[in-house]
Amino acid sequence: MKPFEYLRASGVDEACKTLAAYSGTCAVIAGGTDLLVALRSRSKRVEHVEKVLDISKIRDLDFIEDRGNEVAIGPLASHAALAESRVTRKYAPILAEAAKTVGSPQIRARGTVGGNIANASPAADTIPPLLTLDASINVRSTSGERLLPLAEVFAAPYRTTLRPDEIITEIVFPKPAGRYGHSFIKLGRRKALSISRMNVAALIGTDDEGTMKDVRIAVGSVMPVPSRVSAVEDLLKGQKLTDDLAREAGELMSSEMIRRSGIRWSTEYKAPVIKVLTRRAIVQAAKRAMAETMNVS
Amino acid sequence: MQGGAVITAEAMKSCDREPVVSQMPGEAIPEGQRSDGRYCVVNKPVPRVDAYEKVTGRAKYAADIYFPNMLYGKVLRSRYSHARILSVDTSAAEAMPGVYCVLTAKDLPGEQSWSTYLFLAGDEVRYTGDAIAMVAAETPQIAEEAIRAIKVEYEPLPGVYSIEEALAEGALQVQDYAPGNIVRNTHWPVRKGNVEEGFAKSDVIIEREYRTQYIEHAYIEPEAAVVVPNPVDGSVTVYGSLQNPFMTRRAVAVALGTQIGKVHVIQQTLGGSFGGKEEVMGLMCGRAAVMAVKTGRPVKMVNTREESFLESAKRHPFRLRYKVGATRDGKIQAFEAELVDEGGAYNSQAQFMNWRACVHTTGCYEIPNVKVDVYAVHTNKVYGGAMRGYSSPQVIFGQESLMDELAEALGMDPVELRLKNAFRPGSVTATGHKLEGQSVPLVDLIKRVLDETDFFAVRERYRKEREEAAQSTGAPEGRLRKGIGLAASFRGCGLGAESPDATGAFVAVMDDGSVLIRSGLTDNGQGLSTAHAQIVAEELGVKIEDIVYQRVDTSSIPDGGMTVASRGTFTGGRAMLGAAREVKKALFEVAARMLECDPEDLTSAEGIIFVKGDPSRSITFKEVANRAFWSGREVSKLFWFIPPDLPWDRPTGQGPAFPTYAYACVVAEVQVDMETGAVDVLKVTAGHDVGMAINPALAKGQIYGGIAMGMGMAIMEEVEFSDGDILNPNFDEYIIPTSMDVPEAKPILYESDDPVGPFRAKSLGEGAMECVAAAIANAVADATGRRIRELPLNLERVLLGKSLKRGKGGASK
Repeated sequence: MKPFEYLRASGVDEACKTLAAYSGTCAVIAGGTDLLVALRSRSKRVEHVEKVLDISKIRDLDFIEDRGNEVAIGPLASHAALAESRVTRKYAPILAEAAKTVGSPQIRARGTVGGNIANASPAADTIPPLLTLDASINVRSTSGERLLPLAEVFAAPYRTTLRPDEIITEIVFPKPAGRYGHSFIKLGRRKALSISRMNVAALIGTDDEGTMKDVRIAVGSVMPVPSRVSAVEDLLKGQKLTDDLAREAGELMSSEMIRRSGIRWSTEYKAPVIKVLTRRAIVQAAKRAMAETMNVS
Repeated sequence: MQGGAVITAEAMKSCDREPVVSQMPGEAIPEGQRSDGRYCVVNKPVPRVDAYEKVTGRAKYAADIYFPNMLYGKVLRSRYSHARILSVDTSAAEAMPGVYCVLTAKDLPGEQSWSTYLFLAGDEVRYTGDAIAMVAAETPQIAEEAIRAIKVEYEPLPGVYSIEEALAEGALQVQDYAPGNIVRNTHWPVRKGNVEEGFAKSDVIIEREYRTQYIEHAYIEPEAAVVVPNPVDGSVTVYGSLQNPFMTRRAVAVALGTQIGKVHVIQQTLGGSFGGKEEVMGLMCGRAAVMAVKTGRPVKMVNTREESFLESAKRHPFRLRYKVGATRDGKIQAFEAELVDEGGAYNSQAQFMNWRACVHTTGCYEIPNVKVDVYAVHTNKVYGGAMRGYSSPQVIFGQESLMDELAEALGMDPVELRLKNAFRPGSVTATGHKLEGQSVPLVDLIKRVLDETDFFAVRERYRKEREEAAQSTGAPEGRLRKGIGLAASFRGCGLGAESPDATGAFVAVMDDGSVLIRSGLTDNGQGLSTAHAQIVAEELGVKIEDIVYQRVDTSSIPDGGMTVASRGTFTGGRAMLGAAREVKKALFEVAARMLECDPEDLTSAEGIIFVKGDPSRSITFKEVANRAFWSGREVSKLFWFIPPDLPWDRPTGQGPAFPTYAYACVVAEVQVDMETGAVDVLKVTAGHDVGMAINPALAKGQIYGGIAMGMGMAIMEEVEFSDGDILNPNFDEYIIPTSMDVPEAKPILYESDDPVGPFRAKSLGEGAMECVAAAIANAVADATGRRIRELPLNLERVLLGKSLKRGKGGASK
C-alpha cells in the first residue's frame, strides 16, 4: 500500500479549499473501490497522490432527486442506490439496470456514481447509460462552478478533463419524454462480480409507428473512452428497425471500433462480438419502445 | 452399580447391528453390511464438529494469532523470471528504524532448500516467485518499505516459457541437473501388450492433442504463519495455515539447520488448501523461523493475494497426445499416449503426479495394448504442485474428450463405446492390475447416472431444439445452443504404490468418558475431523459429542505422511478404527468384570455398554472408563496402520497400483451463446462410488465443491503469463465461479461393498472434481458441434476456436 495522509471534508467548500491547497497531490475518496485498489498496488495512476481527501461524510452530495423535467443525482449516490431508487427505476431504468451489474453487493454498497465517473475506467458500467441519458455534470472548485456534458469528461483511459482541484457536485439529465425503450448489455467472463469485456447501452425513442426518432447508443470497453457512437445513431435515426438494419448497425459499430481503437490483441474477438451486442441492444431497446405506453411526465 | 444405564428403545433400534469390524484387505466382505441404518454414527449426516466455530466467526486462523514483541516478515521477490543476481544492497533497509533483520541467501543458517525450490535464491533466479531477501520489522508497513529499499542488480537472462520451448533442441537449460529440461524422476512409462499389433487389428485409428492450463488453488485464506523462537533451547514453535505440518516441520528444521524434533508445528484452522499449502508453507515457515531465531522474537508472515499467486504451486498444465484404435464394434484395441506436463522452475511433485497420471492415462476402460509415457519439463515459470485431483482432472479431460471423438469416428454412441470397454469385476487395468476382491460398480454407476439425468431423452431434445434454432434467425435466443455430455473415471484410493501410505492415529479415553482423538492427517476444511470422530464414536459405541478432536501437533503424534491423495478418511480412518478397536477391547475387559460376563458377549452404543441380546445388563461407557483409568489400565492407543505392499515394475509400469479404486460418472448440461462464446453450465449430475459415505452430508459437500471447482477449470480459470510474468495475480482478473455461476448440482452417492477402507469407505475428495471439466467440454462439443481441445473454454476459444493472448511468450497458447 502506498502510504498517504488522510484528510476529511465536512462540506463542499471545505473540500474545494483543501483540494486547492494541495493542488495535484490530493486524491478524492468516496467509496474507495477503485482508489484504494490503485493505492494498494502503487499504480502509476496514483503516483502523484500523497494525500487522500475523504468526501464520503458530505451528506449534501448523496441524493437522487426528481426535479420535474430533470433527474439530479449526487456523486455520492451508491450503485446500490442507483439500482434501487424509485426515481432512477422510473426515469432512467437503463442506469438502474447497469448499476445492478456492477461488482458485488459489497462493491455496489460502497462504490459511488461520482467515483465511477472520476475514475474514468473504459469498462465503467454506469457511464454508457449516463451518456445515452445526455447527462451533464456540475463540478466545483474555489474558482467557481461549471456544468459540462459528460461526453466531454473522458480524456483517455483513467483520465478525465477535470482539474485536480475540482469535485463533482451533481449529475443531471433530462427525463426522456415520450415513447422510449432501453437496453443495457454487459458481456463479462462470469455472471457476477465481473468487469465488462464490453458493454452497450441503447436508448431509443420511437413514434407510434415505430420510426426511430431519437437514437442514443454508447459503448464501454470498445472505444478508448466510453462514448456515444454517432455514426451508428445516425444510421438508425428516422428509420424503422428491421433485422437487416440492426445487423448493419452492428457492423458499423464494429468498424467504428477499429477506426477509433485500432487493432489490439483482443480485436479478433471484439470485432465480431460487438456487432452482436450492438444488434441485440438495438433490437431490445426498439422493441421495448414499441411496447411502452406513452410516458407523459 | 450395574444396570444404572438406560438404553432407549430408539437407540436399540438404530443400533441393532453386528459389531462393526472393518475388514483387512483379502478378508471376506461381511455379509449384509449395507448401509441400511444399522450404524449409530457413521453413514449419518452428523453436523461438522467444527461448524459452530466457523459460522460464528470464532475460529482462529494463523493470521489471527498475535504474540507480544512479534515482528512482521516480508520477502523480496525477483523482478525477472530468469536472471543472474549481480549484487544485493540491503544497507538502506537495514538502516531503517523498526527493521530488525535483513537477510539474503548467504545468511541462511541451514540449507537453501529441503527439496529444489529455495528459501532464498543466491546467484540466480529462475522464476518471478523466487525470493532474494527477507526482512523482519516492527510493523507490516515498515517491512514493506524496507523491502522496497533493497537494491538488486540483475543481469536478465533469456528464459524458457512453454513445453515446446523446453523440449526444443539446444534449449536453454533451466536446471543444471535436468538435461533436456526433463524434470528429474518424472518419466513414468506403462507397457502392456503390443500397441503395434493392436493398431493393426483396429478398423478406426485417431490421433489427437489436448491441452490444459495453469490453475491457481484460489483458497480464500492466503498463506499465513507465526514462528515463536525459544532462545533457551533453540527450538521453535510454528503456528501456520498448513496442509502438511510434518512437511513444514522438515522444511523448518532444514532452514534452521537443527534437529527435526526441535521444531514444534501446530496446525491452525485452514481457510482452504486443495493441495496448495504444502511447499509454499514450508518456504514461508522456514523463512519466518530463520528470522525468528535471528531476532529472538516471534515473526509473523502473511501473504498478500499477489504473493500467493506468485509463489504458490499451481495445477500443472498438460499437453496430452493420443493415438487410439478400435475395431468397428467399438472394442478399443490399442492406446498410445505421450503426456507432458509443465513443471515450472523447480520440481514440486511432478514425479508423483506423473505416476498417478500414468496409472490413469487410459481411463476406466479395459484395453489390451497400452503404451504410455509421462514426463514433465522445466520452464521459467511458477512450479506446478498438488492440486485437488492431482493430475487426473487434466488427464481425464484429454482422455474423455478422446472417447467422444473416437465414438464419433466410429459412428457410435459415446455412451455405448464407454459401456463396451468399461471396467467390470475381473477386468485388467493398463498397469496389469486384475480388479478382484474389490467393488467395481462402474457399469451400474454409469447406468444409474444415465437414468437419473434421463440422458438419452435430454440429448435428443437438445438436438431437436438446436435444429429448430438453426432455422430461426434474428432473435438472439436463436443463437443459444444446449448440449449434454458425459465423462467417467476411476481413481486409485489413497497413495497406492506411489509412496508409503502408512499413518497413525491416537485415541485416548478420559476418566470422564470423553474420548480424545488425534491424527497425523489434517482437517483442511474437508471435514476429516468429523469423519474421524464418527469412525471412533461408531467403533467405541459412544456419542459423537463425546469425541474431542485436536488439531495436528507434530510433537504429539508421529509423522503419518501427508494429507493428500484423498487418504484422510480412506487411510487415516483405518488407523482411527484400529486405535478405537484396541481401546474398546481394553474397556470391554473391564466392563465384563463389572457386568460379570465375557468381553465377547458385550456390545456398545450411544455411550452404553451392554450384553448382546440382554440390554438390561448394561453399564455406562463413562463408568467403565473411570474404572479402567483408576485401575491402571491402558485406555489409550497409538495405532499405526500399514497397508499391504504394492509391487511396481517401473520400466513397464506394471503392478497393482492401488488397493482399490473409486468410480465416477458425471453428466453436464450447458447452454452456449454461439455469437459471443459464452458458456452457461446449467446442470451437473455427479455420481460417485463412495463405497460407503461416512458422512453423507459432507460427501455431498465434497461433490458440490468439486463441481464448482471443475466448472472453473472448464470454462474460466487460467493463470495468464507474459513470458514468465503472471498477468492476473488477483481475483479481479483471475476469474473463479461465483455463486451466480455455479450450476444446479445433483450429487449421487452410489454405495458399493468394498472391503478395503474403514467401514467400506472409498476416497472421494479429489474424485469429486476430476470428471467435471471433461463432462462440460463434451457437453459444449455436443452443443456447438465443434470440439475445443484446450481448456478453459472461455469466450474466445468457444467463439474463435483459439485463445487470444495479451503479453509476450509462447506459453500454452
